[in-house]
Amino acid sequence: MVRVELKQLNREFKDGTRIGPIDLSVEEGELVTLLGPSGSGKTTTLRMVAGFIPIEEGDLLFDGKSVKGLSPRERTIGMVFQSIALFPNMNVFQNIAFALEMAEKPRGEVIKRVEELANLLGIEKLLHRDIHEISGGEGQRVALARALARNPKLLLLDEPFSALDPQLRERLQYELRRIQQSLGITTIFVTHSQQEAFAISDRIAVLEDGVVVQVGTPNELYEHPVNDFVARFIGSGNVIEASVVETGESGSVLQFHGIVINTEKIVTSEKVLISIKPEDVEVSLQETENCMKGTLVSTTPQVGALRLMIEIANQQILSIVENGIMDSLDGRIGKEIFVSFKDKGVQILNQ
Amino acid sequence: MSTSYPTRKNPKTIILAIVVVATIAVASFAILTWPRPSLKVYTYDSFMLWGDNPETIDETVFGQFEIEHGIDVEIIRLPTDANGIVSRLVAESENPQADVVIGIDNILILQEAAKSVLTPYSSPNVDLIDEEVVDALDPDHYLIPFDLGLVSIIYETNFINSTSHPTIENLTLSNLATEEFATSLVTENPHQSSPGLAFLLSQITIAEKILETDWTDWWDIVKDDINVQAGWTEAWTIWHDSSERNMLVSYGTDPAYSSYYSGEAPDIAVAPFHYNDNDYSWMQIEGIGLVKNGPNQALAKQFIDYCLTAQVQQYIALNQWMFPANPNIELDDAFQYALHPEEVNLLNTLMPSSEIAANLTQWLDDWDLIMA
Amino acid sequence: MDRRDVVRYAIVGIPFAILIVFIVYPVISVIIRGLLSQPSVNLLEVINSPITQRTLIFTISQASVSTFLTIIIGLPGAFLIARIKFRGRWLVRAAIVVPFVLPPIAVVVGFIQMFGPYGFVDSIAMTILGTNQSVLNFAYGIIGILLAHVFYNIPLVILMVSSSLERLNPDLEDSAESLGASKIQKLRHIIFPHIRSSLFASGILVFLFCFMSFPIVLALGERGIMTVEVQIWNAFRNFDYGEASALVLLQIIITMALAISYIYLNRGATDSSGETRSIRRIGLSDLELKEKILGSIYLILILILIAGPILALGRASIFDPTTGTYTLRGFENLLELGQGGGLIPLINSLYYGGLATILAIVLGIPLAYAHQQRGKTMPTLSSIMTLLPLGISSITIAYGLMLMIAVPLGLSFNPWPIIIIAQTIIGLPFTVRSIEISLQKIDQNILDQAESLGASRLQKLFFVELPLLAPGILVGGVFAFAMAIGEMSATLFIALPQNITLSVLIYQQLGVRKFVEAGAAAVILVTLCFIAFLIIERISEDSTGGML
Repeated sequence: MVRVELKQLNREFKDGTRIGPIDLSVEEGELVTLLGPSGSGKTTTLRMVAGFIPIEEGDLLFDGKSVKGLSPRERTIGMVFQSIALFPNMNVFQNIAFALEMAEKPRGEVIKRVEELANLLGIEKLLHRDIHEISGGEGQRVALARALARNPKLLLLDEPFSALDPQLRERLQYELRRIQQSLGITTIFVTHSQQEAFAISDRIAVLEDGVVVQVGTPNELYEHPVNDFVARFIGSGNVIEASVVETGESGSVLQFHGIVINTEKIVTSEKVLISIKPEDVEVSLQETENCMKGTLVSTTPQVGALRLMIEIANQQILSIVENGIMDSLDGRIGKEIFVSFKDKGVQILNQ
Repeated sequence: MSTSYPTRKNPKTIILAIVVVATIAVASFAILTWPRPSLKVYTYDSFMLWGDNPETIDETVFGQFEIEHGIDVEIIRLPTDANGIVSRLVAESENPQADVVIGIDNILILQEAAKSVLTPYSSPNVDLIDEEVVDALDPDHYLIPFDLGLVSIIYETNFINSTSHPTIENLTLSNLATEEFATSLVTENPHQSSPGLAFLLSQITIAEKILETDWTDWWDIVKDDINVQAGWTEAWTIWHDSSERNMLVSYGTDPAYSSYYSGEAPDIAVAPFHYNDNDYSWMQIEGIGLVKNGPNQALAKQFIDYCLTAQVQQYIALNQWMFPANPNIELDDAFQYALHPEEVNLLNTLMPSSEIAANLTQWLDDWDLIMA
Repeated sequence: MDRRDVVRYAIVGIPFAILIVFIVYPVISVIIRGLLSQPSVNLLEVINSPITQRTLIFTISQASVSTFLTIIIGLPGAFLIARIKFRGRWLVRAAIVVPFVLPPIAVVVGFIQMFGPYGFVDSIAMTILGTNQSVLNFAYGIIGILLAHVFYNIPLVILMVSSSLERLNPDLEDSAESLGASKIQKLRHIIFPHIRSSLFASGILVFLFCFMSFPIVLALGERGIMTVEVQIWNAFRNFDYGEASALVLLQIIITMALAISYIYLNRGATDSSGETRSIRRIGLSDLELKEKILGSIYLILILILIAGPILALGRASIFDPTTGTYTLRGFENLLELGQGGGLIPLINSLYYGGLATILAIVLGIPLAYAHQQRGKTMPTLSSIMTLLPLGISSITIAYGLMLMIAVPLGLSFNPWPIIIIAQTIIGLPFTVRSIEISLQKIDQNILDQAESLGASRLQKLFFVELPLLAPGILVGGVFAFAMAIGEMSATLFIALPQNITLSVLIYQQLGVRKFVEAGAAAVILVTLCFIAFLIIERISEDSTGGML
């Protein structure tokens, strides 16, 4: 397996869009996800790693050695495209065997390897089928088996599950993770779905406008988004603007509609963006200490919890509360409700 | 189970196989069609094919020469007419392949292009042919006469005869221009057909030299009535099929041809133009010539000599339905129905060839503008 | 520029070089030689001469009228093909292509038999009028030329417009209908804007073909009727090389203007085509009575015009009009060696046509790739290069090939390679176009995928690209073959007797009134074309309609 380093990758396109500079390293056996909205440059970055887009500036290292001059076929990668891109003129066996046959491996070895992969992915019964005779989920498995056939050093996955229905998607995410870990293969995964990224990644790199804005484990990102973009995109939820009331040597005091927030960070500006996770937003029917008044807009039941949407001065704040409180909220939509923040939950964001 | 998985062929093997098969196919075709050494004679597509045995005619006529000189004579009937042959010779002039050409006539030779691809050759056998005819074709001997024919109007005697149409006996341009005759006449486009061109020249010669009028007036009168076809075959078809079109610009030997194959007296007759108690007709003389810088000049000259002798000339009448250039050949009985050169005054002699050469393009353009 | 770029430029460069050697160089040489051969000939003088003016006016007006008629008659057909469900659609689609790929000379035979004096239509009229004299003649003269042009080009309009109609998203029509649009409004605001570019593109192609028309005008035209092409032919025949050159120049300027506008319109046509899986079709039984009657009248008209000459051709091949008996002599003649026998021409046609097809594919694939290059220069250049043969008279190309290639190489006496080259050039535009369409459909990701799996350039080409291109290559190959075996003008000029093809043989046999033999040879050509298109219509899901 291989350790991959992207060093100051830079590329400018004719239409004016820019990628980079991107710095990222993927450890041996690690699964790193490139997460970002469409147009953020994640697929482009992946294609630069694969070698389909030449690297103009910066360098790409596999185990410390530059692979910039190598063509995609020389990089020993396995890639699964968003469109699956199975060869329509070959059957399932031929698709999976393609890489091995191109390398002119002995016939027996090819068959052994293909059957082994088919067993691993549970598609051993499909080997004789034509491509148009298999379902979408089966197609993904075939594509994955095909990418893994020649024991690539690096697996690249470009939104492979985006066209599937949610249940199948979850199952395949789980299977991918299982196979990736059992093979210990270094993997870069591209997706625009935060949920998918969190489900399978060791680490996540969030991209915005061609730049990596934050790299971290799912937990790190969730708990400590560096800016409002990450906070919003990760769905760690409420990004609000607070005014700075007081700044001392040991920290600052912020205020948001009557709620006073103490932070250890020293904030020098007058206003600051903070994020607070929905589960750190507490609600109460009675006025409590350090709270503010809002209007309950909607309630949505979730597994073991309830999502509340509360409007405060034209801003919507999301709160997730445990099930127990449910009964008392009946019939309160449109009525007033009191909100307070857990102090620890507040995260000061970089501007 | 595992053995039934599909296998892949090696692309290199397949490409190699395709290349090998293609190469063998092309090479064998190339070898098969590789030209043999031979004396090559360019001529037009129907040359000597109007007789009883077109399949064997080349062997019959030229076999003797092949044996005497130990060389194959290839009669190459280009899929075109004499103009097309000259075009090809012009195109080939930097690296000529043919040795001899047969079929360029006394009008075409007036073109610079035709002379540019030929070398004058005064065959010792030119004495076998009337000097008048030799000079009428080309006094410089770029071409020597091979055969000749009279371009005239022929008509179907079932519809037109001296009883029903007395003027047919003394045909003039003006009675040909009458509605009755003009709506009965089929001719050929002078651009595309040598009898068509000969007819145009006959008409111009009569108008300008005998009647001393503007030749275009006549076409103005008849243009809506006469039927102009692209070539002789098309014209003949209309003439043959239609009971309204009974007159055709064709050759004076047509009645002979008809009689020879029907075994009876022909139901067609020839109407030469008639002025001042004389019959007039245009003589088309087809020549044989030496291709300039051809590969086998010496042999080609001997071949031309041979073609003027009775050995070749005797076959012309019944296979080409023209008169042999050599006047000493005895003709088949059927030729009693043909119009013979001795019976007419040749319009050719009235129109100096220099005048034709100078004006032909203009005349054709004028004709186009009238007929449009 | 890295190594891959060099290889790519080389692959695209080779067919360019070949086209330059075999089209541009010979044609330019012929033009220059012609202009130099008669320095007195002034270009303007030729163009201003009354003959040229008349020819030019006739050429343009007959092409305009032909185009107009073809579109008017072809449009309903396009709608029927695109919108009506019926059994044997694929058969009709395959049959529709046949007129376009027929050798013009075979068309002439069929037309004379169908519409000529004593032809099929005439016989009916004669029976009705109780006369034994010919009363109708639609085969010769201007009417004949126009009808033949409509016959010849109607497949272009029907196929191009119907394939555009099939790409019209039915949701658009449905929403227009739901918004209260009448049929006429729908036609004007939804359907017409959608098919406009394909309509114009097919119109330009039809105009181009009619503008260049040669064998039809030569065979059916009466005195004085000339297209520019016929005048060029006349000029070459009369060794007036100066006039020929001037006319060729004039012709190229006009046709290139047409070709360039075609390229631009066609770009629009491919851009606007949305992907549609569900094509709206209605069954025959859903039609209203009025529509049924109109449709039937149209079908009868089309059958007379399109199927009539082809069937007349079939009859001509077994019916001897001079003896009034049926005979298989024509087909027997095709198996005969020797003078006038059809066996050698048949072998020649198949052999030359086969090699021309292979060459067209080998050249066509890289040219199609050149079309796909980014930027505008490459695609435009390659479009113009491949359209060149449509815009330059085949006689000029043949003369140029003869003069500049065959003679210096000593091939003029064994000219079959030159014939193959000429036939390849004629069919190339169609081959490139159909391969290009296949190429556009290939998902770039599939190719990238093959590369990421370690396939070399050759392996990728052989195992992935070529199999995916196969339908386009097949269709392109069939077009190339059909065009090659139908080619007559160039072959006629280059061929020696041992090189003549079936098309030339037909021409010669027509010249000596061997209608049965000509008919039989023409029937063989028609059958070959029809079978080929049946096969591709069956194999490729997409029809040949988008091919042009």
